[in-house]
Amino acid sequence: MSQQLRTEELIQELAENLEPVRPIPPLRQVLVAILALWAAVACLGLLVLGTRPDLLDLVLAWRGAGAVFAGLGLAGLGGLIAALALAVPGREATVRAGLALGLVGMALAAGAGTLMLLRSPVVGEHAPLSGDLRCLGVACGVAFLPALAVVSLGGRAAPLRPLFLAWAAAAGTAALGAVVAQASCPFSDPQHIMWAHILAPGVGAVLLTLPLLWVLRRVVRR
Amino acid sequence: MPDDGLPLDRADRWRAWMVAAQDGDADRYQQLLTELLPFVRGLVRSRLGDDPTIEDVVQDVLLSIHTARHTYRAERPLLPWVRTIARNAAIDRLRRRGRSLARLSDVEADDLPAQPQEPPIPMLSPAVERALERLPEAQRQAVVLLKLEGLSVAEAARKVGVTPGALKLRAHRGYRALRELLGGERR
Repeated sequence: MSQQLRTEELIQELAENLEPVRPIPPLRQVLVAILALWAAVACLGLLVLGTRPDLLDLVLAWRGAGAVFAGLGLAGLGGLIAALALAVPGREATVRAGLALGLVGMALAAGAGTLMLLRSPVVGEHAPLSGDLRCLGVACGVAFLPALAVVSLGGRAAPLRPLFLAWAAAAGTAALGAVVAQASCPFSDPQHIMWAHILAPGVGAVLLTLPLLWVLRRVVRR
Repeated sequence: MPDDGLPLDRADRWRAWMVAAQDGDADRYQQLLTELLPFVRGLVRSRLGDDPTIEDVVQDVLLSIHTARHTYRAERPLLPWVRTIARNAAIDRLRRRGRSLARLSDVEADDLPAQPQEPPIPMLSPAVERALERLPEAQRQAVVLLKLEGLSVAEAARKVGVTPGALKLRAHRGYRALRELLGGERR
């Protein structure tokens, strides 16, 4: 009984110390802002790195690299949606939808990549290791600022599962970064596309999750 | 739209009270938390069974509702929001129980009156002492006054010179940080 009295005392104290708060903006609005930031970073990256001469043909070629573009874009969008929804209690359905979208995107990209691998000649020109590292670096580099923005905004909400949020932000933004890597990559080697573009979200998740978690915890503590 | 099977008027009322609370209406907020209390207790009990610490988890949920109230948006139903917060508090509790943080649980559950003639720190294990030292000053002070010196919230708040609510929040953050620190030492 004394515990119950203490709980009611707590309610009274919380009410007495109540201060007005401004509700967080709708998820859709935050998502658009993050995508705008990614677009700005992507444009800057493409200006610096340059685009492939056959970019338009690639994008329009649905069966090959075009499907990789679409898949990575969907994976990135899904990851971002899941990460942002993880910062708001009661948005589990949105988290699930984001993860499902991300998985569909990854499946599409991986399927297209596998088809490209199967159709490629056994003996062909392979991209060097430095090329692989370049594209992974581009993907993670482009991901960094948008990922920071996601965890900063997420930390100001109420992230109940911080590690999951940091992981979704890292994988999602790395997938979007891989779109830029794909658009600026000088190589057409299917193996390179598979390892350095399609698997970039996994690499981004491994490299960025812990730093993002650290940032998220700092923002939450403030 | 009915909010989780609740009568429409009650769901709408709670939603309206939450919006009023976001604007700083303390009366509506107190009414809301008071009406939510049985619901929260039910949720926590359904997760934890007859755990003796249920009321602590209920208080954690109320504190989480308080600190996360800016994440509620008026166009969304309130109950899923509350349920997620309650479920996470219960899961946190189950995880902590799983980690067998027996010493810390003893400190938390200690409702015995204080024995002021005894110095507080020697009662603690070295691990808890180290964890306490790593807390921010305000949180450490709140934990020590409430749990080790056995002061009431009002007495401790008077001693520190803050409101009781602020002191309780500091203590709550301190407990959480202690759990994390002790969990980290045991991993």
